[in-house]
Amino acid sequence: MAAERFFNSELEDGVKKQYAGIGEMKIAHNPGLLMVMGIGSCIALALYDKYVKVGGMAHIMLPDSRGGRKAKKSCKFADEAVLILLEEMLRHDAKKMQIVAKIAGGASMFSVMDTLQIGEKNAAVVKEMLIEEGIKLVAEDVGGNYARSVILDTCTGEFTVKAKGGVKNL
Amino acid sequence: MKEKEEDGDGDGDSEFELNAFQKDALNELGNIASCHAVTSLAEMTGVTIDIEVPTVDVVSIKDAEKLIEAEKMVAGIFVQIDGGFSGYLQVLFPERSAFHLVDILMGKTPGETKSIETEMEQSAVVEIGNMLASSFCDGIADFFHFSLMPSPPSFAFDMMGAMLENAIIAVVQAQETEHVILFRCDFQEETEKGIYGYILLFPQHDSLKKMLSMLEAEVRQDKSEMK
Repeated sequence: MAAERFFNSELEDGVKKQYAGIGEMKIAHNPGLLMVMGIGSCIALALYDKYVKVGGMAHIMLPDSRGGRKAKKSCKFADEAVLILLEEMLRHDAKKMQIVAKIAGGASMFSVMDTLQIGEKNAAVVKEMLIEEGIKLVAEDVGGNYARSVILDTCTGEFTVKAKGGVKNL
Repeated sequence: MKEKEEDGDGDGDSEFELNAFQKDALNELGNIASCHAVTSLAEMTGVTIDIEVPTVDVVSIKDAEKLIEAEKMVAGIFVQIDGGFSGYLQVLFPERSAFHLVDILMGKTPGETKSIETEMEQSAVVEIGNMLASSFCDGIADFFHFSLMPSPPSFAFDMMGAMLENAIIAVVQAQETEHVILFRCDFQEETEKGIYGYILLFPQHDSLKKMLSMLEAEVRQDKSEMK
């Protein structure tokens, strides 16, 4: 467990950084940095409540859970991740009315895998679920054929997307 | 301040572990295959290459990116393998090694290549990657006496994490699993001047099981011959 924590979190300027691996989610109150590194067709979904200053980030891998054979839901799947992350945000004192969403990712990097259109479907399902839950999508950087790294700063709600082409603040 | 680490992740319905024998056997297989691959690289480029002992890891998908530097820029190819065995293979070169390879292949002075944007530069990396991939496959196929058909390679030059993620998605898409098996083989130029690379193999679980039982059969046969 000690080793796990060492990898998962370190400090930057005294602010705790947390990385969400594939299918994981992380929640932090202010101050905190939530990161998803090097995603291609995966989606980094960030939810943020600027009044309570709490943020959550999920690293979503596939569009749907194919009927939910498993009892336990997982953030791996776009159709389940939105609900799981939202629930967790509410448990951490966020108010549903105040939560906004930002997403990045959903690229298509290799032509071999183009036929599956995973990235595109991931983004579409996440957006659909956000609409269903009435969460406003305020920023997005999806599609393309390049990888991204994403950081959510729970102090400002700033959503930074780093890619080969440069850095964007959304 | 409240803070909690959560991973909303449905744990291990498909736990997969390798015993010591299986690990050794796969390491050896990786060794044979990567020797094949690296020999052909040496023939093509004229540089002498050292390979490290390959490692076989069973990693849970959420930890896979911790094995590597997710943001490191790498150029490489992605190949789908079918035939006696199915899975995905990647050959990746860190940025500078890729530039160096392009220099060698295109007869430029070392240090001249500074990007991989033109079609010529890309195809140089694709060619080398593809050659490494096919000789790696040949190594495995020869050993088991079956045939392997690698798909045409597709190229990318981007963050390593995203490259890995693509292969993981492909494996998980085919079979719901919390774990991937990762064959990792690092190689470098003997003089340590410039070329480093990684060969990553992501077998489908069915294929891996089949391969393991073939390996075990082989060993049993050897033992009985010795008696």
